[in-house]
Amino acid sequence: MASAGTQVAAGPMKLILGALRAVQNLLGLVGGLIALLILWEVLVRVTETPTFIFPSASQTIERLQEQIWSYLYEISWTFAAAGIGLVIGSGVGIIGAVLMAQWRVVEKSLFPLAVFLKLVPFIAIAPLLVVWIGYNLWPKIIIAALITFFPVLVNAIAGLRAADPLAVEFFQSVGASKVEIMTRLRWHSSLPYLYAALKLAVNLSLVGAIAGEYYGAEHGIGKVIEETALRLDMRGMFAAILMLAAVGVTLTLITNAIERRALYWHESVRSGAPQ
Amino acid sequence: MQHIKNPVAQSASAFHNTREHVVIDKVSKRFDLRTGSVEALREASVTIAEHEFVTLIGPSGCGKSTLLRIIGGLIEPTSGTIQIRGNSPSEAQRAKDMGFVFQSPALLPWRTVVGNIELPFELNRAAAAKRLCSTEEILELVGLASFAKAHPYQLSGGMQQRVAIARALIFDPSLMLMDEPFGALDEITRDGMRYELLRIWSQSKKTVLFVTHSIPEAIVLSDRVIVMSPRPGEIREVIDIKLPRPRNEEIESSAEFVRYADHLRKLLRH
Repeated sequence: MASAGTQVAAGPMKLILGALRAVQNLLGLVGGLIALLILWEVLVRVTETPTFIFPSASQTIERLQEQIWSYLYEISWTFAAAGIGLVIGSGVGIIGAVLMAQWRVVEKSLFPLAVFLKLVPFIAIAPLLVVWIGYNLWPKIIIAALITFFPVLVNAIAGLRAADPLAVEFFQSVGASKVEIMTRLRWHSSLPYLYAALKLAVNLSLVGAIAGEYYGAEHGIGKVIEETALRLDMRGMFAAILMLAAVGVTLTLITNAIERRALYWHESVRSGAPQ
Repeated sequence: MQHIKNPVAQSASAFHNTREHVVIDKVSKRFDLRTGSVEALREASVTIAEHEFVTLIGPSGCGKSTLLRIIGGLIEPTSGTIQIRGNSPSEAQRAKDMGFVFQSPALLPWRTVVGNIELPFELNRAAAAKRLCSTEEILELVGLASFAKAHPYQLSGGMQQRVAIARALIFDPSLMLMDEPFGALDEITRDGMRYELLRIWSQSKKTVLFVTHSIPEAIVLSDRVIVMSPRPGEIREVIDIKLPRPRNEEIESSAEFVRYADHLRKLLRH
């Protein structure tokens, strides 16, 4: 409840404090990672675990350095499949949610179908899709889309319905149309729910794409993991998994940053709740 | 439909000289619940004049909010009719002729104060976008001139409620419907808001229908107080408050004020 004057004065100060906090967070993250790597190294050496069972951190990192460009290339295929699947799955989910939130009839007729879709374990049909469609990107895209669709749909419906009922009544009291209530009120109210679902969906789409790659692919990090497993090349496999983890963390940090920017007004962001 | 852009503005001239703004005629409302039906309002009839400040007072469950919502076109009455300058509530809604203020501010948290106040201009553009005054002027009027770019979460409850009042005033509706707008505020803020609202009303001269369960609030604000009783919700008595205007805090210690308060308290006790 600062007055406008103090707010302006607090601007640069806030920025510096924010930057300091970001650096602090990053240091904490890096510190934690280093501690984990050291623990890994020590454990493997002390127990004298053979490399073909559990390679040490240093061996894994060494292999990763050799393979980094080829792995990055492979992972970009995985990302393409996951990304396109995510866009399709969440896009259909969001459109479906808007229609269902707008018309109960649509919800009554389509929602049971969505629940039925959710009950199918899509990972299980991955081999089928590969047989039908081939070793290209499409089976992975389809799996990623199918598993991201439902959580996005359900959360978006919940969010669209969560608009402040009194705000809805204010809109109605000035004769706002249903479309206006949707675009100017419900849509914004649903964003916290939608971001929560999308963060989940980002991970799910990667899981779907990689699972699809296990059953046959020309490219992709899933294919790398599968091949290294067949050759009992644990170093190569661990390097690929480490790479995937690093990319996953980066992706999460990026989505969190986007969320914080978009939802500056929401309690979850202002209270600094864990992401 | 293009040529009848604003039915209220057209009929306003025809009805203006009658001085009747809101005519409530035998309005009843029944709510059907799973456990049976509840009679929330029984045959309420009252006429509210242009520029009048009328308060609805009564204990919880007496149907005062229900009546306000029916007038605002948010719910349909089971029987009876409402006319707002000769139009139905839904026509008045379409013509943007009502400004609603609720118990909670119901602002859009992602918008700044200015963004919230100007919201009505983005809605229902087909209805004439009349303007009471500039956004800067209305911020001045509600005492938030230095908070134009703040977000709702940076404001106190009382300030948020003043934003809600500004949002309802800015598009210049002839009728203000206020449903316990100060109900969620602490007593000290509430006392101040009372006179602030009177000041704003005296400058904008709207017809105001104000729901409350505070006796002092009802007396200080109103030209007339409608006392309601619960189960079923009925109008018990309509009291003229003949205190001189402009009113300020001193009025609350006057003998007349105390007399009105005693009378209201007795009515509400039964």
